[in-house]
Amino acid sequence: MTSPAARDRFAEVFGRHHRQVYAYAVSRAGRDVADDIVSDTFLVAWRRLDAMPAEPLPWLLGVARNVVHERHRDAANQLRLLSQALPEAEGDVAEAVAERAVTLAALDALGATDRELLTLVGWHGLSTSEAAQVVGCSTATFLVRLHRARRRFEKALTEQSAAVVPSRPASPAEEIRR
Amino acid sequence: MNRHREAMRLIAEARPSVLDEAPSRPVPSFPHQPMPMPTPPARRRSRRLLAAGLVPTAAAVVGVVVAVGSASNPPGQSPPTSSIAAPPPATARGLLLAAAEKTTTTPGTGDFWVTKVELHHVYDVGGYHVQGSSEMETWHPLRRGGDVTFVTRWLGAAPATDADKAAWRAAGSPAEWALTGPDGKQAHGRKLTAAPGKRDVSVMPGGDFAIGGTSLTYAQIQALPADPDKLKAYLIKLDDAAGRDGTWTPDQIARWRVEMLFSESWTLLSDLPVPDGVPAATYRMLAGLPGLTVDEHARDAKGRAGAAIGYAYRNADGSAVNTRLVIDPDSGSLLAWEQRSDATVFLSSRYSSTPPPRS
Repeated sequence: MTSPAARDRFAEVFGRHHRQVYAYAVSRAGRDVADDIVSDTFLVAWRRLDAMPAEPLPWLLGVARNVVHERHRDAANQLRLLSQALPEAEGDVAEAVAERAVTLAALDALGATDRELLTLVGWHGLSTSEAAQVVGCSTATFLVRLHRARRRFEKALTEQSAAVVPSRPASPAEEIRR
Repeated sequence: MNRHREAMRLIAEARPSVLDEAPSRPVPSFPHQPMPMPTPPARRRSRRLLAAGLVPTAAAVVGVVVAVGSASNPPGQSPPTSSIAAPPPATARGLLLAAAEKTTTTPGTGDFWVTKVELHHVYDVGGYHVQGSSEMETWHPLRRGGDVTFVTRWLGAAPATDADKAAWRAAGSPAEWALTGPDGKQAHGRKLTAAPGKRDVSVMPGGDFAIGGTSLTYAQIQALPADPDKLKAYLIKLDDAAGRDGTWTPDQIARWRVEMLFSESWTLLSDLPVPDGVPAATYRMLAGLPGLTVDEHARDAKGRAGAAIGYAYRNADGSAVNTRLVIDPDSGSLLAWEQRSDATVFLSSRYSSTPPPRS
């Protein structure tokens, strides 16, 4: 038999955090497998409810991270954030789309490890010490890795800007000048 | 705005909305009651995956970092170290070699390697900053495959400076703060409290000891070289194996390696149960690195006096992130690691034959 208290705690944690786990899953391995990752993560959470800390988000993302490594590594390695984000881009103004597309393309150009570190802090609302818990290293080590990842991102951004910006649609003013 | 914040702002703004399109779903119902997880087959396949599962609960109340950047030089201002070709200042080298003469390893034996640190961080709470800290004890089994236990406690937070204190009073002296993320939005209703928190214990499936982008077993750590040149070569080999794309210039690789060796020295001195001779070799290896600065009269975040060995991590735009390793050169003890608005204060390491607390 399962204790009602355990059920309640699990339900509360699920209700509060399943969307954040989903967001992490999409950012790591894409929409196609995000639901599976959420299910597998909460299965582990249920089995290890006794080990779950009071503030469980970093812990949950750490579990989700393991699920990605163990079962969806190919999806994670092949993920292109730019293509994941494409459908929503159409409604935006061209310049904002272009800037965001360049950023996503630069993230795509990085290794999965760098991309993960940058998006953990940039997209999932984690502090560096929480993000360090997710990836299983000390805060000091995480900061060093984040610093390196950001440098590679900046380099990739420069390269992607050169590659993407010229293909941006010409503004009406530029049309007239021609 | 410095380059770091600019990069993180760009990333935050490019967050695809598809991330927030989680389908509404009922709470899943699993038939059996909570039980220990069986060892998944993947753990045997790859030790690194195991390490990836370590999720301590350190500072569970800690919120989103907004880099305060006080230790960072804005673009255009020259960092304190300018050339990797410059020889290390004699004092940095001298202090490190003196520390190497005195330093010792943690004596004893046991089943667990227990390290204790205090984490300090400055948080942007909107309009002013508060400094918060937490304590983290890590119980790492020496035997492979055992669980790692993290015992953490939030120690509380307070306005960081006198100016912050004035702003805090003007805001009505709140006892807790909502935190903002790099995008300036409030991050998932996360809160920071002025009061200390309760002790929190969490257990995760075990892993090996992380260093150089990889992880080592206790047995591999016992085989680390006690010769500074061999230690350096070994770390470079580990780092090279962790991967790098082929477009780096020799100059970039050289600088990268210095940064890597500088940062892994903290790992060697604080995190790992290294054998005799390795701490001394670590200090001697550091003493040979170019571009180090020294502040002989430094204090760590707990007010302990020591010497700060600094290194400026260089950004692509020429700005720098100053990082400091604070040591006591007289005893060779490690005191702290400081970078930007973060400080990790080293408290102790020991072996234990008794198991970690369970709650």
